[in-house]
Amino acid sequence: MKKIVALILALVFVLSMSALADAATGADVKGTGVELTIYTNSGSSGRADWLKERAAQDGYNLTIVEEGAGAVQQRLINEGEATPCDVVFGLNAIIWNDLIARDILVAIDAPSWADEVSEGLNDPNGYYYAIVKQAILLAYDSNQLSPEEAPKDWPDLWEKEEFWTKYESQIKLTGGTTRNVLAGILTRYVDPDGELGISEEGWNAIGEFFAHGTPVEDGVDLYAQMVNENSPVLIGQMWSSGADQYDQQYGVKTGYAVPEVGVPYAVEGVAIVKTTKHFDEAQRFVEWFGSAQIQGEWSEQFKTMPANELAAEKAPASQIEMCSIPAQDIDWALVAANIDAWCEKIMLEYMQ
Amino acid sequence: MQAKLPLKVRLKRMTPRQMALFGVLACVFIWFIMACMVLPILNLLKTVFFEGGTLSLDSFQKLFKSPRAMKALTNSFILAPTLSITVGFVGISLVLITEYFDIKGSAILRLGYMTTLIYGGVTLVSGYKFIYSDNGVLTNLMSSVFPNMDKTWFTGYWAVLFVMTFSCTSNHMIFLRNAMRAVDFQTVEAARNMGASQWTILRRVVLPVLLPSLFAVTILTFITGLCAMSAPLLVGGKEFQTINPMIQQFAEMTTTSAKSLAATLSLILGLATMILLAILTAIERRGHYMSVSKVKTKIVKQKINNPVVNVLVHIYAWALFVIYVIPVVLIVLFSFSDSAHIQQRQLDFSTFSLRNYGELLSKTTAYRPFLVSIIYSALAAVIVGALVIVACRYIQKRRNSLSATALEYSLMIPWLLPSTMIALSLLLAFNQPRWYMFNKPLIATLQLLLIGYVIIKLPFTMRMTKAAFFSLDNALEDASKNLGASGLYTFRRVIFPVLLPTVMAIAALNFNGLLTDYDLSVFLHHPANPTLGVKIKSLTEEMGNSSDGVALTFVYAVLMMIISAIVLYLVYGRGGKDNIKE
Repeated sequence: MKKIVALILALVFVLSMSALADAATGADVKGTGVELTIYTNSGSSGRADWLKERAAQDGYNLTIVEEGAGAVQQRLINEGEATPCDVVFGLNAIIWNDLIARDILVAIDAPSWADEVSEGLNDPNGYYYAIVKQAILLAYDSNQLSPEEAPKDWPDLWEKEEFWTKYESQIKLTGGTTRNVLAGILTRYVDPDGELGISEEGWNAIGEFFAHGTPVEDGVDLYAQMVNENSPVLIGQMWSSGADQYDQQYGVKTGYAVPEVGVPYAVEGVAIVKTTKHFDEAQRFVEWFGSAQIQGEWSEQFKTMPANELAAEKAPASQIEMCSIPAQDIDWALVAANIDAWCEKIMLEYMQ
Repeated sequence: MQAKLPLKVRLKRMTPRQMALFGVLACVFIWFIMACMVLPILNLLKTVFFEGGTLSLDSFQKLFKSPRAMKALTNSFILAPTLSITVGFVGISLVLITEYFDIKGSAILRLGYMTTLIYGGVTLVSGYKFIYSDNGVLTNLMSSVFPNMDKTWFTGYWAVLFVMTFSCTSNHMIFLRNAMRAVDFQTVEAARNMGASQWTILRRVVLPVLLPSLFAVTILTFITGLCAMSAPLLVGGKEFQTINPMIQQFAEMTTTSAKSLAATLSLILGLATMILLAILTAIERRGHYMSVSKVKTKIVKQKINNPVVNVLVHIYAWALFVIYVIPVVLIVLFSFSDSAHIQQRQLDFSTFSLRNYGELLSKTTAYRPFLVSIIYSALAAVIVGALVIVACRYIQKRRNSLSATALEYSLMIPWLLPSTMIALSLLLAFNQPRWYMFNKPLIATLQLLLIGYVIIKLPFTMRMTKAAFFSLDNALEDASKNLGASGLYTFRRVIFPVLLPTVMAIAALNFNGLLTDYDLSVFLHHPANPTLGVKIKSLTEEMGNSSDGVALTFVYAVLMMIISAIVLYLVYGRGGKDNIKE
């Protein structure tokens, strides 16, 4: 009896794989066991382990390489055509657009869940599809600043003397959050005739921004400074899923500005590398990974905000609230093309 | 002497077997130097300075116009020489305290002074900050006495100099200490019998013997100062930032323009290093700073005659001990705490738990990087040691010949560029098939990182091994030859055993240094085999991090201290301290 059941099950499985393969969508698309090499910056604190195990349950065989976002970007660029990487996930819109410009990714047909993602987060040309969104916030310690006293938008920091030295200015410009903040400020001053596409007013603003901040103490995070009475710092940049974690850790309550122009979103996405030798399996994985089912599980596990709206209800209420701030209108391709040059100029001329 | 004969004559005298060995070795060295160092670096320089076929010197202009870059450059050049002096002073006094003078508790003191051998970088500086920066133990103590003091006093040039002075004495504790053991006690006795004071003996008899090693370790200190990274970043504050963090950041950017800035700054540092090296090598060549005695007598520890001086030296010795040991103790203690308390520098025993250790040791993904790093570091340490021994033997035998000088300087090439740039050069060279690498790209291969590790340790290994070779007693070799032993046999059975302790010490230092490497690993590691440094860095990466990333880095740091300590024990502890130099 058992044998017959097993046989029938196997038959159903084979049939579903062959005849219905095209029909299966989302988390029902199983892997075939072909090894996929995946690069990501979103693999620590157990994420890589969780994903590897969860994917194995559905037939995927993943080798996950986890590194910082910048390191993943460098790796892909420098490895060129010799890269063993099949799929990349995580990163942010700036890096995605740089990888597209360098012809490292391949545009793919929209996965079945693409429509479920909040508008404007997927790449319009199909190079990457969004999975997680992080609002990049102007955060402050609400125990020490009331919402009325707090800055309403980034320019307040340097335009209003009361905030001088009370906010952190960065000493390293290679991090994703920092670059999103800079992009959010500089793209307000786009001027094709200006230096590196930014008007003089914009550069002056950036100069002021760095001049009046307290430089980051390397290795010490924003929240440690907020609670340290010897440090003047109360305000700084924070990504939305971090705000919850740090609140818990330091027993503070993060307040954040809701600027009229909106905030930049670091869009973590998933994409396939052009030189992959396992395109079909990679495509199956993308279909599986971005589905509401898997993203919902991911969100529950790691308290992040899924880009997939069907999975959004699984996210913590605080994340839903933070990520309801409208997205700032930013030309990411322009940012991607110029961010290194901007950072170079800032490092040489404006940083303290 | 054979060494004076020209190559042609020597080749003629060789047996066919010797000739074959010589030929193979020559090919290996020439290929290795060209394919793994010279061509990749030239390729890198071409990529960054000749974009589009024309030489671009924009980066020089940009840097000269940047007050920040110029200030950082000046700071690096202020730090390097001053650090050489302060580290030299502290380093010599450590060696005198542990090996020359009769100080109470010198065995314990020595263990304390050797703590810098097992940790470094960010961990070490964090350890110092637990004591001296705001909320630090000492600062809190002082502010209870002087309530109005500025609690953020520990910042800027003096803070950087302080931290680095005590953290950069590792090489002194190994190499200078070895040299001290070579001081001939009979000479000391003779000088005393002739009525020389303790001070005179120290100055005129002991220090001259230490000079060759002092030269060598001073070069290392100078380079460390020039390339300072963690200390300025963590305690330099606004006014004392140095150039290496800037290089690192430019190298991490993707544009050619940023990379050319990184390359330009690196070359300035590299050039300064080479000039210093050339000067010191010339001075070294001029003098014969060697122990003249043939029958060495072990040193007997000297009691300091002047009672006042004796008490002062004891106080100084134990004060140093406290400075050295407390950071280590605090790091170990804090590794049981959580990230929030670590960053606030609040030692609260109620937060202590074994959770972090449990988390780390229970997952395969957490300890696999340990294995990867241990294997790579060990392999690289052995390979680089072997390469350098062969090279040094050649240089020693053919001293002052053009080929020997060329070989020596070729192996110093990696000092021209910081490790980040070396990694970049390897990556750019081998991301495509190259004829000089057998037409195979090396991306995502296991050997790429190994090549990187070997290269990066060549100059240090070369410099220190050469010093050991040059202090060899020629009489040993002559005696062996006179007894009819062949060159290879003499080397294997006579010279190598004498060198072995130093070679092992260097290998241990290389191993410990590579264990936590991040700069090279991040570019070159095999995708499925990340190293420890890469793993640790990813713990504090934003957006993907756990809230306890910082605490986990401390756990890793403590585990690495343990590994490093074990390695040092295997080299130094076992079989007694006397196998060195004897």
